[in-house]
Amino acid sequence: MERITITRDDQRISPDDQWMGPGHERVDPDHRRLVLALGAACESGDPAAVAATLHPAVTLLIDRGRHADPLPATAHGVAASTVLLLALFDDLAAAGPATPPATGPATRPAMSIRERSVNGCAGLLVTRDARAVAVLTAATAPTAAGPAIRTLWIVTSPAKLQHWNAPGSLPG
Amino acid sequence: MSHVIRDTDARPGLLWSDSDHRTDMPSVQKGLAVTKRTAGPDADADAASVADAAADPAPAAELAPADDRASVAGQAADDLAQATEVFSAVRRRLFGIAYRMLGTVSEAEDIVQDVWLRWQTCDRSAVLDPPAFLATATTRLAINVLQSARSRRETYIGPWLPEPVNTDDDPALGAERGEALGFAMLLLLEKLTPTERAAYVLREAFDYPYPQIAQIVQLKEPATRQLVSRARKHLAGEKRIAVESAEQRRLLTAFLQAAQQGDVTALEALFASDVVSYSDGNGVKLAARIPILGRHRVAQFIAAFSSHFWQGKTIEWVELNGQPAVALAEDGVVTTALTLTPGDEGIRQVMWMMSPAKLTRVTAASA
Repeated sequence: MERITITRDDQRISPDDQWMGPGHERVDPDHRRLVLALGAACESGDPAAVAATLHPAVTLLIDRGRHADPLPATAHGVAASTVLLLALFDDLAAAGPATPPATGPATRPAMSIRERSVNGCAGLLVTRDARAVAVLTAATAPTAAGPAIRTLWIVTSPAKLQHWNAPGSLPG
Repeated sequence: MSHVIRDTDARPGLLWSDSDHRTDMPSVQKGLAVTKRTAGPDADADAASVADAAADPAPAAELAPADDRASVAGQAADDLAQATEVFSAVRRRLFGIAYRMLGTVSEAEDIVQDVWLRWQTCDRSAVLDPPAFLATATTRLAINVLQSARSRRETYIGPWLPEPVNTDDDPALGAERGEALGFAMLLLLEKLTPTERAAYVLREAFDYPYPQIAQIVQLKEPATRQLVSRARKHLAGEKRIAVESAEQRRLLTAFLQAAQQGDVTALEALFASDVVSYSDGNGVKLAARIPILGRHRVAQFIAAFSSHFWQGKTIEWVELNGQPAVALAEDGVVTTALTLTPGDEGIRQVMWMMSPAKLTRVTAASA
């Protein structure tokens, strides 16, 4: 399964890049760094890296719309949130039951995670096969060891992602 | 705006191309009929009540005599072009208002569309301040939609979240500042009444003066000021709880770290001088039934069992009585719950809950 590292319009970015245009001067650099780190960790499926970005009292909320799912829609605390987050990204990356061609290996559509400005701050857009499948936004809070992600909101409901699929909202 | 519309049967199908939203405007001859995109059951605003609640368009002007029709038709096209220009100039702001009111892009777009239709068909010569007129129509429509949306949101399966909006091109989404735009804020705004929310959004995000807000929400100015003040207090209350919780979590985190390491100095630094440690031990091991008093004694007491107490225990964050707390579990069973009470000087109270009866409540809280 092909996974692509976090990009901004096909350009590899690091948290120090000042890509955001006019009006984004007040972007919170810590918040952005954490969101990008979380995205990279979810992309690589690394639980320790995910947990490293999370506040001890983190809450994860997923809005799936009417889509039924065996996975829970909320999680509290680092352990449960890490597990649910990685399970969610596994789901997003999978094509569902793979249909193998007559010969050769089954292929899965590529999932990519891109940085976007979501509701005024750094967020993540997850696409599979160029369709938006999730948008993620987060709030941070201080801990003894520095800021960490305190609340994670993920929208996977297709009805709520319609305009993220509109022409021009995704590169290429 | 000095033109008078003389021919109400204006040519249909004026195309208004908008890069963000709509392209094909319906014929003016359809009047105020609201065309909705096909949407699921989640997005069925009541068109009739929406039409009623909006600012009334002024009655249409008279028809010109037949021999002036040619020049009048040309003039009507100019009027519409000018109307389009005026609307386009404020369209971002109208969307910014509607989005902050509803927390959804689809419904906000529908409202902007409705206002556009209204703007096309009303007697614009009678409108002294088009941006104000348009903002008023937008806000009132949003208030109405919000009222009918509430019950839908309450019966939503799973967490209801706002529709995320792409702010790459416009970080403040049509407003003076990015107020009331993040998810945390939008979810807090859900707790306000529609009118409170409108007054708050217009004031905090768009800097509208109070007299204008009063006119939009149809209240007297003192009542409007009270509305904004009440909304601010309500939101500040929610924020304060969040901040206090954050502070408590911070202390708990630091406490846990120091306790697990048996670091007496670090523990003392966290405590107020008259800190008390309570336990409702019930005879369970390690539980001192007599409260322990004083910074030094409590620090020593906690450091004393640091080597073995924490082993094999998982630490989970929970909420007890609306306060952040920590649940310690062994093999998935909660055996201890811990809460701290902060004071100005430091932690004033450490409470260890080991009574099984109380702990079932903790397990339920964390589920």
